Amino acid sequence: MIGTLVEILFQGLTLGGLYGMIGAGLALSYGILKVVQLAHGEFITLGAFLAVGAVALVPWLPLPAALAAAFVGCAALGVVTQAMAVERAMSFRDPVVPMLVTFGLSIILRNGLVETVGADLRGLDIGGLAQARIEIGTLSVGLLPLVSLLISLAAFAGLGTLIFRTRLGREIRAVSDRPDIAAMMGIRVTQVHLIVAGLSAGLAAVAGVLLAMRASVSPFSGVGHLLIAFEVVVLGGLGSIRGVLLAGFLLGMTQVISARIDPNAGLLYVHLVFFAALVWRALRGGLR
Amino acid sequence: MGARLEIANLTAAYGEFRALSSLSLTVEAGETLALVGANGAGKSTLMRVLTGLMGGWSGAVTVGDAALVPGNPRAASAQGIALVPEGRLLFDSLTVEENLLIGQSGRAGAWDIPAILRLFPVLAEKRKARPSTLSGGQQQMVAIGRALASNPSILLCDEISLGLSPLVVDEVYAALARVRSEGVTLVIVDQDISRVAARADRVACLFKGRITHVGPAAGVTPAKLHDAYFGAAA
Repeated sequence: MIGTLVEILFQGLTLGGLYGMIGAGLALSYGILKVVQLAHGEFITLGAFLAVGAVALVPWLPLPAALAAAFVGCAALGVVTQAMAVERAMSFRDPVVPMLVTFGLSIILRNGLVETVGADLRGLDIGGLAQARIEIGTLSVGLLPLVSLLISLAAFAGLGTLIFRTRLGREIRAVSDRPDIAAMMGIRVTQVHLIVAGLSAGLAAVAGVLLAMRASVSPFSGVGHLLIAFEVVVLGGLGSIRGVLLAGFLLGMTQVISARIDPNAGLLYVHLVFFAALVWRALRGGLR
Repeated sequence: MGARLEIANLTAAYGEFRALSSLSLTVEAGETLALVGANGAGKSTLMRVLTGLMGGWSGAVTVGDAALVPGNPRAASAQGIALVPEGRLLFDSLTVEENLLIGQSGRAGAWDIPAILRLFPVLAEKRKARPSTLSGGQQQMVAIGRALASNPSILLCDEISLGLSPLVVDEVYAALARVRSEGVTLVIVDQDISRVAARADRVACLFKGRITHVGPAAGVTPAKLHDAYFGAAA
C-alpha cells in the first residue's frame, strides 16, 4: 500500500516536473515579454527533434550533449525569430499583433518540421536508460523518470537563480516592469528581450527532450503541448516561476491518480482540475 | 560634478500638438533651477526630451560639451542625465535595494549604495521590501536614490512633492540640498512655486511650450509669477 502511494507520488512528481517544464518557457515569454508565444508548442517539438536528430547523427552521444544541442538550437532560433519578427510586432500597442506573428511562426515551424523529418512519430533512443531501475531502500524506481525529474528541478532551480539572483535577472525583471525607465537606467532593452526569447525557446527544447525520452513526438504534437503549457502558466499565476512548477506538479499528480481510477480518461481530469481551479479563483474574485 | 545644460530652439510635438516651441534655456553647472508652469505647459515633455524618452524633436540640447542624442535613453544616461520621474515609476518586481543597484550605470562618483542609504537612512531597513509596500515618501526616496546611483551630472526631478505630506516634502528637499552641495546640476519641477523657489538659484516658468519667465529665485512668489504662469506675459 505504502509502496503504491510512493510510486504514485513519484510518477506524479515526474510528470508534473515535465508539465512544469512545458510551461516554463511560455511563462517567461508571457511574464516578461508580455507576448503570448503561440509557437511555444512548436519550439518544444523542435527541441525533441533536434535531440533525436543529434542522437541519430552521433549514436554514442550522451544525453547531456543531446540536451545541450536541443537547447542551443532552439534558443538560437528563438533569438532569430524574436529579432526578425516578434520584437517589431511588440512595438504595436495591440497585444494581438505579436500573438498573430507567433501564430504564423508556429505554422511555419510545424510545416518546416514536416518537410524535413516527415510526419512520423519519433522517440529519443536513450539506450539502457529506459529500462534501468535503481533501488532506494525498499523502493525500486525507474532511472529514466528520476533523471527526467532531476533535469526539471535543475532547470527550474537554474531559472530561479538566474532571474532572482543575478544582475541579468534584475535587468530582465526591470525591463518587464517598465521598459522605458529601464532604458533610462542604461539597460539594453532589445538585447534583454532577445535573451529572454532565447531562454524561453531553450526551455521549451528541454521540455521537448524530456517528452521524447518517455514517449514519441510528431511535428503535429505542438498544439497539445501548448494547451498544457497554457494551463500550467494560467494556473501558476501568469509568469510566476515557482507557480508554474507547482501547477505542473498539481496537473501531473492529477493525471497519474486519475489514470489509476479511469485508465481511458487521458487528459480529461487534468483539464477538469484546471477548469475547477479557474472557477474557484473566479469565485474568489481572483480573475481579472 | 555638475554639467551645464543648454537648450536652444527646442521644438517637440505629439502629432499635431506642439508641446514645446522654440524653447531656449540654459542651466549652469551646479545650478539649481526651479521649473514651474501649469499642467500641460510642457514640463514633462521637456523631461522626456532630456532623458531620451522622446525623440523626433528639433533644436539643440547640449550636456556639458556634447550634443544630446535624440530619443536614446541609454545615451542620455551615459551623458550623465538622470530623472526622478513623476509618479516615481519604480520597478516593483525588484526590491528597494535592487532598484538602487539597477540605477548604477558604471559612472564613478560619490553616490554608491552606502552613501544613498546614509542620505535616506529609513531605506536601510526596507532594503529587501517591495517598493509598493512603502509609503509615498519612502518611494520618492527610492526614486531619488535610483537616479543618484548613476552619479548624474544633471538630476531632473519631475513633480518632486506630488502627493507627499509637508513633513516628507521637507525631508526630500533636505536630501536634494545635500545632492546640490555635491555640485550636481538640478532641475526641479514642483507645483508649489514658493516652496521650490525658496530652494533654487533661478526660476523658469513654462506656458504652452514656451519659456515665459526666467530669473533669480530670491523673492519669487506665485503672485509675481502670475502673468508668466497664466500666459498674460506671452
